[in-house]
Amino acid sequence: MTDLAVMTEIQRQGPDATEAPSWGRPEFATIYADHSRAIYYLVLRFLGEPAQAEDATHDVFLKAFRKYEDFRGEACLRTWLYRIAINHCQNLLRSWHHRHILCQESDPYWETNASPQDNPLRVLETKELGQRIQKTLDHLPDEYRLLLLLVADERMSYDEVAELTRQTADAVRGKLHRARKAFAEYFPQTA
Amino acid sequence: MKHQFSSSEEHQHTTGSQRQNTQETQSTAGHEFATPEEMLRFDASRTIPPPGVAIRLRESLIREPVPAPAWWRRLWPW
Repeated sequence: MTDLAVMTEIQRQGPDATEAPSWGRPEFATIYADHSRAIYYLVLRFLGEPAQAEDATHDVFLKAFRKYEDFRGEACLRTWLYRIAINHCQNLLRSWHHRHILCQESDPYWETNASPQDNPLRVLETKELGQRIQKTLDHLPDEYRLLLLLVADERMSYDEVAELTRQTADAVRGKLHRARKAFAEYFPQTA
Repeated sequence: MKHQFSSSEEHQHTTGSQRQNTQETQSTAGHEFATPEEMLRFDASRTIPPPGVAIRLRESLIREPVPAPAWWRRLWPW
């Protein structure tokens, strides 16, 4: 099956899909379609390496598939997936492999992927912005980086971010203020 | 190309439909953002997972056995 065919299959499967045997579970194609962009973006910017982000995205959804029966619906699905992704990324960052892996900046998927219909200027702008954002996030402490990425998700409330990062919502607000300041101060230096 | 934050010191977290109305300076053409979150949201909107991830995942899931229901779900199936 080609890339296009797979993506078409994913898009075709709406919330009412009753069967998707190629995805193992009827609902998993929909789950992937709904959440893969958010999970991929989080792991891409948290790890800073596109190849690792691809592997991590795959692994996060595979873990979610294996643990899906344990998901009790107490948190929303996005929050549950983020928890798996954050744990996975933190384990990777602590691992020997991550500390020694070589980053290949010539990777064609390095940084943001512009859509095919974008004009060349927009592609360049998007790539440049992605690189500058990555440099800035890399400069921040892990905790600030994670808070900014989580709060940037429109679906996440402060309470959900607080639960995910195991602190109070007030603590999130305080740290977020400092994270925004640190980001805004460093970003101009990446030009 | 210019990417920058607006001069506004107003940083606030908004959710859902609130967001569109509160950012007076956002512009995708000039890339001016009110907050770092706005910039990250824009970046996220331009970032898509490579199609190869979906293919790899599908192949992995085919090989996975469907896990047995959790013990508590077997006891309380409703």
